[in-house]
Amino acid sequence: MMRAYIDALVDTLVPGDDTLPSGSAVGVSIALCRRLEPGPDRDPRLQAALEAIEARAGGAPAFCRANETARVEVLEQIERAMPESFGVVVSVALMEYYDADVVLERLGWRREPPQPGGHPLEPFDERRLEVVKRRAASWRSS
Amino acid sequence: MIHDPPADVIVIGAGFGGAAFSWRLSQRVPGVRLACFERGGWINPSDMPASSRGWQRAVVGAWSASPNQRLACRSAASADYAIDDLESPIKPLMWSGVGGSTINWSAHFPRLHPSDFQTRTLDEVGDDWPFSYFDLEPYYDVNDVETGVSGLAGDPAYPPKPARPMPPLPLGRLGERAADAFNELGWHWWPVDAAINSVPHGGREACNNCGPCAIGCVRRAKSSVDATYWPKAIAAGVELNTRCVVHEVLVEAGRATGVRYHDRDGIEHERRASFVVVAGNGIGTARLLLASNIGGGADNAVGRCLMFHPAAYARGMFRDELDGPRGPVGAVLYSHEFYETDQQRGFVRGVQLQVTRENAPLVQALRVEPAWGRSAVRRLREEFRHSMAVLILVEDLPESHNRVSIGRERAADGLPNVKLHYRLSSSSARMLEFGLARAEELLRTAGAYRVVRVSPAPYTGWHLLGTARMGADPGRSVTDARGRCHAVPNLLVVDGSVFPTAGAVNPGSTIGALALKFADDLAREFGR
Repeated sequence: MMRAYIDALVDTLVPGDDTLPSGSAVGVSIALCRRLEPGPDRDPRLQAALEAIEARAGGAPAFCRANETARVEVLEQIERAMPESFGVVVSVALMEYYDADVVLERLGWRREPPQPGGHPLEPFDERRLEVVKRRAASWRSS
Repeated sequence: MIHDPPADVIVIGAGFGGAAFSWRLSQRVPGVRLACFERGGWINPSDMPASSRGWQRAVVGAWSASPNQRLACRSAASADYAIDDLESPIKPLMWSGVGGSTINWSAHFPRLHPSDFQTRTLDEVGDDWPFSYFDLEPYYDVNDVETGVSGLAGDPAYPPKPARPMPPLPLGRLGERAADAFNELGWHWWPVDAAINSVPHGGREACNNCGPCAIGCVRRAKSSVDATYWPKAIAAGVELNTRCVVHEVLVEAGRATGVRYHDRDGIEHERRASFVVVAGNGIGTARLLLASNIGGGADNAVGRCLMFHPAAYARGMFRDELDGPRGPVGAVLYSHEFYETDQQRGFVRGVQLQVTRENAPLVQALRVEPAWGRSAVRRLREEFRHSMAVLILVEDLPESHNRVSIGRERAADGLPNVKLHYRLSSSSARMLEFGLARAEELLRTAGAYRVVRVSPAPYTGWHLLGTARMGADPGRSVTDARGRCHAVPNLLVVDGSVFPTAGAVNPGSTIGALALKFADDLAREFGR
């Protein structure tokens, strides 16, 4: 399957904006192609969805040439026609994209995993509870 | 077939119920020959993904809370079996291994209210429990100590509780904003009782607010029974056999005589015992009992009256920055302002509001609607670190048509396939709507400029309750006040299956307390 087509597809799904890079710029296309190769991660629904998109667009080159509005229209048609398979495409794209270091950093988050660093938070301040502590007991006795 | 040496007691399942029961019985009856069989294995914290790149994918893949999703990823971390949940809008969540679902729970650790034990008497719905809150209270207290609880005594929504072993977890900016809004509205709130260390405790470290409790706790700051009850039980002589799948409880002349199981090599064993205890959660227990032709009651009651806590979310978006995924995801604060019955609301029983933290960016992205395209990216950027979620949990009432059934086909583990049949009741739907309206009111008061509702939230089926419910009448219940099956008196059920009603709070604390009580009840059979 031609790489330009995969890039166009990925950048329609995850186009990026003035802060975030596009999907193809962070390796989503490569991950998608890898999932099409024979092996344990191969999912036939992915292949089926990509072929259906290509066919609906009138071929991969036509999809590449189309503007974003036209591409979105094609994808919406396929999403309605084969939601499960299309969902696999979206899921693979999002998993790759939002796990990319550059995306995490530009979202204002960190690339390191949760551990061992954790996060600092201020200790609980009991003064906020003063008003609640003055309430009468609200549990029902029998 | 290998015939193992007999035991006094066989426990099936090493989750909360099985662990607390085994520990307590080993303390009350020193020298008791207690053998536990667990279908999964031990989880080594170093195998948990929170220290690894790609951990976000684990949250929605190999370490998903859903056994079906884990199976789809060919994950072997949990010893899962497939559950046909097509006829249930709420999807079951669990973990199969030593520790059970305490491995991946959020560790929110509330007690039921006294009224939850008397819904028939007070509100003419459901059934009364065969004992009261105050009968169970001493066991709640022991369970709190053994589990390790962070929190604060003095909540006016509850009868007095002992001082919590550790101070409350931090609220963070998100929790403080919510608390201020509750105060402004004049509504009840309180920091959660959490089975998470806020300071070093019990030989385990303090939580460092890393966030994703659902993928296991590398630091062991989150309490799980593989790190609390099990080491003590094993030290007291309890035998814990892992990777062993019990596929039949043997019953002869109305008495349980033992079990048949496959070991990790697939070899069939039979082991005899004086008592058999099933602790496999509201689905696994029903599956095994039904597979063993133990129906119970006049209505084939085993498997019926499945209860979840139907749940919905209201998510508010804020202009200023909140914490994002900092802090234990499910353990911030709760409100029981609407927990007790008020007939003017148009339903009986109640609703819990629970403020929860944000998820990791990938998890958030998979939940944004629409999921792809320019607007999806824009929305994720708008929401991430700027949202607060309020979880609404409501009390599900027992309904016979909500049930667990087994099929004729055998699954890979040798047990019959299992299926859920569940419909959200009109009462639960009304309660969710009410809770969502209150949650939105709270979020707007806190400053949210936009609120999104998700109802019911499908992947919230943690609490698997009611499928072997307790009661005095054998025609309307499966087990008695000591967890014993009416039909097979030396067969006990020690998990959430025995709940006659569900309350509207997380059940872990009550499951542990029940297990301790049932162990004490059984200890008396041994003269202790």
